[in-house]
Amino acid sequence: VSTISTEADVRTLLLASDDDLRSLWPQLVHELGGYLSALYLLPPHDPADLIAWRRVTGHFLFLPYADARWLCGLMNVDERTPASEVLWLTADARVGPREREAFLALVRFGFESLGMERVEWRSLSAESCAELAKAAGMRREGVFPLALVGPPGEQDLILYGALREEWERR
Amino acid sequence: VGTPVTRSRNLYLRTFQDEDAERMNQLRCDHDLSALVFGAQQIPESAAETIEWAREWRKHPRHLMWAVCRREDDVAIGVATMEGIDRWNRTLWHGLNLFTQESRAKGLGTEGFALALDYIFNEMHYRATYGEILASNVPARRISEKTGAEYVGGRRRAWFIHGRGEDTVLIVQRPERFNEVRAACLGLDN
Repeated sequence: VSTISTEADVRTLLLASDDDLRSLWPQLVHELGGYLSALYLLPPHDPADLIAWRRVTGHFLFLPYADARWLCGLMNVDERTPASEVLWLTADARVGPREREAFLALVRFGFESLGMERVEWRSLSAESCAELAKAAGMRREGVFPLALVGPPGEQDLILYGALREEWERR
Repeated sequence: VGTPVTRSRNLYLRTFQDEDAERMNQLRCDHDLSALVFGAQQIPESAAETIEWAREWRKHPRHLMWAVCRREDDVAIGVATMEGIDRWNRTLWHGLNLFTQESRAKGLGTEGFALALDYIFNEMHYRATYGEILASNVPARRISEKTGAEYVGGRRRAWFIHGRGEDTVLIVQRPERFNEVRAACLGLDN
């Protein structure tokens, strides 16, 4: 991996290499099949799909810390709107200090390095996710009912969004 | 519910062809309508460019595009689009756009959209479709409401139109609610 260096000094995040993606792909598909599908990936295809997806879309994919077994990132970076969406690829909804630090670094990267005016996140319906969104100044903006099918049954996705001024005064 | 149909009182669905893209060019070049549909005003383009754009769009494995045609003269008046097709969770994002102003305010948007929803729910067996509409686009919201949509939220300043961030509303369509109004929307209720 290589460390990203930006004006916002996002020291937490490590750009994921193609090898990282190849290594993590089988685990991600196993744990997050339905969620990946909702993100327009097509499991259980080859990890090359994930690598190509990043190249074609320009999404930023990060390891949140060295040796992490999950990914996060910013996707749908729209420089015209300008808006972006947090990508959070872990099956574990628990939020510890490292997850919180990574999440805030991602949102900071969007607002302060990429110049976004809006950053959003589609998350699982868990209290820990709601608290994480709130820490980044995000408001709950909506819900996508029945978005996911998984072993626990049907799940909704919750939409959170923060505007630049909400991030700055969080 | 009845057998899924591809023909309603005034309209029918068929696969999208290059000649439909020529008519769609009018929509993509319209100063006001293109912003409502694409979330941003489009740079005017040639018919050949629209044809090429539509070909590329249809190649995507998660996209479908159908032409909405008038039964009386076989003219394509609009397009039904499906993107983000999620075959795992059986959801997708929908769109229904009429090509020109002359087709609007005649109930054809509702009828064409209902044709697409009927096929998506009752033939393809999808669980839900999602849509996003400019909050100020009252006619499009009305079509969604008439076909059974539920409002599930909105994205603030999500579209950038004519120099301003504009709010959108998010809707979900489910088969149960759609099927309650299906016959009336398709003009098949009498």
